[in-house]
Amino acid sequence: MRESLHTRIHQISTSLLSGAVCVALAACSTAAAGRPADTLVVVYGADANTLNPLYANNEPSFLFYGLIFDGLSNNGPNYSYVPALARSWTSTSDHLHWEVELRRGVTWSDGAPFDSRDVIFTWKTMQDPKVGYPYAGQFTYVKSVAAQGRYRVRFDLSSPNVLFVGQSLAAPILPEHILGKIPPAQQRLSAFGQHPIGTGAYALESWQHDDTVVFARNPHWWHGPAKIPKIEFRIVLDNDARVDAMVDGSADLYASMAPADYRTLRSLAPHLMFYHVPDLYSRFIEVNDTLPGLDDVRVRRAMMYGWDRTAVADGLYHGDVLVNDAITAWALTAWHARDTTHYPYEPARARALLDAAGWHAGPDGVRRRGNMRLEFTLKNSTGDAVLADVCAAFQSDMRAIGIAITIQQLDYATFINQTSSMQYQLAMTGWGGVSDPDQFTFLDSSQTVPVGNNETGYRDKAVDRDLREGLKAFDYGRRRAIYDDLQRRVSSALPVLWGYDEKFSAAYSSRLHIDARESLPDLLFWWNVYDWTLSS
Amino acid sequence: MTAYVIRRLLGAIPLLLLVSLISYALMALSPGGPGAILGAQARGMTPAVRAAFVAQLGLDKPWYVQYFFWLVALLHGSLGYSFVDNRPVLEKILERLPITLELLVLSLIVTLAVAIPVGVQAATQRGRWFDYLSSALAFTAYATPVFWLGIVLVDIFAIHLRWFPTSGIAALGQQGNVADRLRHLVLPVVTLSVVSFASWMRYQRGSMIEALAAPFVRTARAKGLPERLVVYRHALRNALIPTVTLLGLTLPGLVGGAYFIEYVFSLPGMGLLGIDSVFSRDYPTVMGITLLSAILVILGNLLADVLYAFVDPRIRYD
Repeated sequence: MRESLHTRIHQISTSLLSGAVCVALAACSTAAAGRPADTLVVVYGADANTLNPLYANNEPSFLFYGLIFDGLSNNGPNYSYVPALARSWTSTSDHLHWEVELRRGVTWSDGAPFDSRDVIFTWKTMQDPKVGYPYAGQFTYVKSVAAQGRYRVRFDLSSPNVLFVGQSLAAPILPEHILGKIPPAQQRLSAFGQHPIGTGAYALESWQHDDTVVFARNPHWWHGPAKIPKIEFRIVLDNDARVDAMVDGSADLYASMAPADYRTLRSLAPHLMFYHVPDLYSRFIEVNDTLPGLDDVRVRRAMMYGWDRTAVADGLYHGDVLVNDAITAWALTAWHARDTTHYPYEPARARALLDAAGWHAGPDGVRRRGNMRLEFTLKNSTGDAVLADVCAAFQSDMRAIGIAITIQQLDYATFINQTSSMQYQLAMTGWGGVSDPDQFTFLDSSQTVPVGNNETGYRDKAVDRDLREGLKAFDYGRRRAIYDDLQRRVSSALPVLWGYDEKFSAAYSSRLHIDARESLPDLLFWWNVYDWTLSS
Repeated sequence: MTAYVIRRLLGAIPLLLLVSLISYALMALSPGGPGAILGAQARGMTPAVRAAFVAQLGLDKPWYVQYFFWLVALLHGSLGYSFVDNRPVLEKILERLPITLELLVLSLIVTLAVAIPVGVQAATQRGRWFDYLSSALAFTAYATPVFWLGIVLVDIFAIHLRWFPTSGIAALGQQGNVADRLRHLVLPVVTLSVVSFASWMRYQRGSMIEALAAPFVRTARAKGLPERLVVYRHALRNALIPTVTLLGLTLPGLVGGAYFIEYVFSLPGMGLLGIDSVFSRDYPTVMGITLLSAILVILGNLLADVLYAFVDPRIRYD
């Protein structure tokens, strides 16, 4: 609510703000002069909850701990993974056994040496139920991890998994010499999350909660010291205040901007540099495919043809989102399939589909079949004013084809609780943030909640086969063919109503030098922060 | 007096227990219920891990059992650990409390500085334009929702006129700058003060009218004292006595109002922490803040009673 309130106010006042821009620009040099020369000042909308990777549960936590910790593999250019704490890895031809050679001479930021004990400890801890690591389920295919000497580790898998390098090897490695002293059940309450020790490019220097988090570069980082000595995240809860900080030059970087903030900054501060690309996040309307009416693919297709998504993209997002008919985000150009079923706005076709399915308009305009009215509740979480407008537009579009939609706004915790237990008919939601096209846990029939995250109840044996084969295909061409087939199938079957992909936006000052050709959206924007530079 | 204060403090214990019990029950029975906090984290959890995680937080037990464990921990001096960041709740609250207290104290000062003179003036000009105007303003302020007023003031003074910042407690790089901090607090303090102005002003006016009709005021006037002395030295001093009791009655409203204010102005105080904790179903933090708010209100009431006896020698509690 807080964010949407200010967003609205901001929209109304953008034109009035223009008059103040001269004053702000005049103040720019003063504010910039007060900014430390060796420090990258970043404005961020929320603080981390913890810097312990085991319990991180919000975006800033993931971002901040990513500066402090390394995996055996780290993110590389173009969504690749490159050796980090591992010097190299090899696997058997069946990809069931992996040997990882560790980097030598690496030290933790407290000076203690890193070796295979840390890797073994990390895996033992992640897989111990007493620790309560929420994402342990992602690593169930890792059967065992064993040290083969001080700098060699062997992983045995129960089944080959193409995500092993990007997911398992990328898991942040924890310091055994510190956390090993804490019993598993006590890990959650340890102070490590506030005073982390890592091997990464930066180390935590100071943390004033909800105010400032400062990271200083790790001079002993195995890669060589990062080029920017310090990064200071200033936590500014309000969107307008973050925009102001960029306009008056008191901050260098504002990433993951709301679309309205991007437009405002483009008009108010043309002296800034901008990075604006399709995001990894896709927005869609989740459908409980097990319910009467919604279990009929003709009804779901009618909803797609009756939903004017272009109007949403142009009218509500000012063209800052991309209509998407595929399950894979546009940003993943190596995987996104273009030859899927497309759903242009064709209300006449939608009506024809509903007629063919036996749903005919009743006296109030809402379609009926027998005693059943074609009416559903669309659940949405509060906090995003634009999204509330998207729901209203959907409601209006559906009414035009004879489907009654009731919108129910819920606070986020309740919304998540209800959707993750399939207590919904339609839900405005989305997914993203990952750079791999795998959607096993969201679509596979074995992953229907509560086992996994298949919240739609969607079941398709051919899709299951694709999902499972896709995880075993180590050859790009073969895997691409599998996911092309998968995308075509789910675009046609519509387990959800595809919506649009958001765009990632960042604004930064001219003294910050980022190689935009290597940049990526979402949290991956930070993948090569160690290579960024600041000019004086 | 000491015995009275001790009696009152002991009497506050069952009240606090009742407040905490009702709060816990309301929280546990609210939509989403126990476990909703795990929603965002639970994506990707296997049922076994999820069960272990829920058990670790104590959420696998009925709400009254959870409450009992919370109470036992409280008796051992612990408010528990936040579900969200696993930090001690007391530490989180103490981090945020100064901003809330700053807001409350400044609002109270501003309210008193405006409401008392206006109330006095309205009483001395009873039935005239100033009286009508101030009363109309007071009733309007009283009927104004605090969050709405905050939004309107932000729109006018922060966004349109750009006299004050829209939110936050300090500008970037200005932490520790008192002038900057006060500039950030102007709109929140004014918002909170406007809403509490009404009751103080009306109460002061009523009390003053009563005092001005008292025999000792007639005597003072008969002695030929200037009207200014009659009003401010004789009538006002007596009229302030009943007003003091309002301090205790105002505190609950101020604490509640501060929560909304902190939310609207993104002030990182206890109120904002409380609202965020409610949304994220961070039970231990919500309970800690509820308990502390209840203590503040009870202490405020006690303070009012003690002050009442202090300013009026006729009142004795022993």
